[in-house]
Amino acid sequence: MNSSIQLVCPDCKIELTAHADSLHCPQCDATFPLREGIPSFAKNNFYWNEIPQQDMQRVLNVAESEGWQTAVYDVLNPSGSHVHATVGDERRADWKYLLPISRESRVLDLGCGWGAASMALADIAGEVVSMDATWERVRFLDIRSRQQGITNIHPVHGGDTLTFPFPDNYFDVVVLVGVLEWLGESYPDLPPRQAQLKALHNLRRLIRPGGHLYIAIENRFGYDYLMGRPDHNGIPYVGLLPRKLADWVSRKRTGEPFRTYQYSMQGYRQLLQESGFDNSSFYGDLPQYRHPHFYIPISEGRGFDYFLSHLWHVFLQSTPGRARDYQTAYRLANMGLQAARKLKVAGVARHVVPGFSIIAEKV
Amino acid sequence: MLPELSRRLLANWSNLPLNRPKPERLHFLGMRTQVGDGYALFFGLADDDPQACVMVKIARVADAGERLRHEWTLLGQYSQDVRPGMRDAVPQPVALEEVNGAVMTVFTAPAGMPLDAGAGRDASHFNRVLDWLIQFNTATRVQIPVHELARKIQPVVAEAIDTFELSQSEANILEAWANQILHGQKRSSLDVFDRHGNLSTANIWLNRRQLTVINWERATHADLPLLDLFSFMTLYRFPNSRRLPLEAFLDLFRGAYLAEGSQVALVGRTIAGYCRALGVPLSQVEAHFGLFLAHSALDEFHMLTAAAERGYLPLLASKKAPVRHPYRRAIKEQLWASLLKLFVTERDSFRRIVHASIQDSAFKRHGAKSMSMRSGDPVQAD
Repeated sequence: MNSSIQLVCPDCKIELTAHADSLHCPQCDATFPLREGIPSFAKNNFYWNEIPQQDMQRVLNVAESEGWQTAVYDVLNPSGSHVHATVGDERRADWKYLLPISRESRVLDLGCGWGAASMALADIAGEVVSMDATWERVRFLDIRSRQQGITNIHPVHGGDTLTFPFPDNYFDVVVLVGVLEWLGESYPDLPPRQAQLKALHNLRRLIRPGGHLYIAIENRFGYDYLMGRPDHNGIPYVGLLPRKLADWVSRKRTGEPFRTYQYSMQGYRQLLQESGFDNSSFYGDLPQYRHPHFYIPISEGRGFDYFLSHLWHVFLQSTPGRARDYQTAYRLANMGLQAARKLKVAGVARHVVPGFSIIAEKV
Repeated sequence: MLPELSRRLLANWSNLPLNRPKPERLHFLGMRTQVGDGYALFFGLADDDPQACVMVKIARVADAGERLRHEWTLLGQYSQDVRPGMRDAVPQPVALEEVNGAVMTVFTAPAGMPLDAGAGRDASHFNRVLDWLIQFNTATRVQIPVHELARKIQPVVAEAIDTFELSQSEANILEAWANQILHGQKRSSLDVFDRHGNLSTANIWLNRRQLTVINWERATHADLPLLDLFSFMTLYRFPNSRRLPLEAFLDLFRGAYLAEGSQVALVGRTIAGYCRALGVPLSQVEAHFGLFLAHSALDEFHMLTAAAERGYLPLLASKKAPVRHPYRRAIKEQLWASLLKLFVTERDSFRRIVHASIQDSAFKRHGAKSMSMRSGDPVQAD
């Protein structure tokens, strides 16, 4: 374990002492294992990934023995899938340039996944702590960063309970890419919005005053949802419904409650304000926040107008796969946009972008 | 990093070559670049302006930073040059900053929209670009000794032969092309020109009045005359999506250069007009085309290798299994390497069809006496 980051007991907030294969809290006596040198705070044996656990194990074995590139390009991606883009395309994290990150900055990438954002952040930040609840993904990032000689990434296994092993006011930036909607699951006894608020409060404590929270997430009223893209529970249109009705439909169709709340721009702004964040800037991520081709400032200025008048066709041409998957949606969106431009109300389209990048400040 | 750049630009606004009062704020719009470009791209909009005033590039890696500095210097020179095709066709340099160890360059934003999107790929746009290219080449023409040009060409040929594991007969063809360009005119010095180096349709922005060519970070001084032309002509025919199977691109290429058809007359006319304007012997078109493909294949190889090191390879068009490290081999078997090998194999067709079309075009314009093409000139392979 690298000692350049400070780890504390998630419950007592007392600094942990390191042993050969574990970390120990001198106050409450809790012990946290070091798995392959990676501190593990996870309480559940959680696995979520784009590929089955068995395949992931093979990827890890090959990464260790033959190199991470062979594992990604030759094992993970034999069928031409897009998982490898999720794993390694640093352009996915170009939002990092919008943030005030410097070589003195300490960044937490919570829910880091395979670590594409962490790798990109490591280029410009001082220290990057990469935390994920799926052990195999943290392990992959550890192997990759070691093989690439990157020393400022610190993988940590955990995040499933949202009690964090870091001191208060420790990070300059906390990053949540595709995570906020799932935070409600961490407190199943609370209503989803209350759970998200509680999680955001916990995260806020980790950020120094004047530091920033970065969130990438879907827009509840994004045009792809409006055109029938299934929500996180696999049911189309459910997120558009009033919450109680959405919950009823979800229980009826899947047997599970509807807890992965997403919001509109105004909804996120309100949620963040209630959590103690302010000065939120919103960017529309197109075609989606996971693989954005455009970050368009939509809460200030006229970047969206510039996008529509100069770059709309670039967007259409740069996303042929998505245009093919959502042919009808694209056609309708295009027709709607043409009409809106004639009526000079095209600017309202900013409210139906599929995803947001949100930068909020801890005040 | 953009907040810091913004602060610096606003603090120094009155000294920047931007025809606008100092704004309160700059808003940045990010647009994804190509794999291997090595930099991130943002457009900066001032306050409530509906137009971008600046274009910002941020180097992701050190060598990209060097390329951005090179582009900055080059466009600094071009922006002083009042000849047609120069300052009016390139972004003006605004600022060069180093923030957090990364090179950031700021240029004026291009007017209009990219040629491949919205402006449309029609004949008038094609001709506007060709007219500009001839103006640009004319303005940057210099003569260099043959041995100096040989120092540029021969390593490219050697590297292509080695990298793509060409057979002896294929290697002979590449070497013969280089010799023909260097010694075919029996002159001690040859005309060379500045080269953009990445003249894709995405890098050419147009509106009704103005054409702006962006992304000059791969530009070179004193290079072969036809590389930009062939690059533009070929990319103009290719769709933007690289997700088509490799064979589809090979068919498009065959249709343009290697098979009888309506496109060949246009290709021949374009090449003939361009060669005439720049004084390039028509007999050397095949050799130039072959070296253009070798250049492009090497560029693609280097770009993919660098991308793989950084963590992401775009879907490879050709992936041959099973070998020990298929992706390393597949990188060598992509689009441009395949086109190079195809051209080497089918160069007789090019000679027969395109040269005939060039000859025909030249005859129509100047009559038989002025033809410089010799039918026995083409390179012998084996």
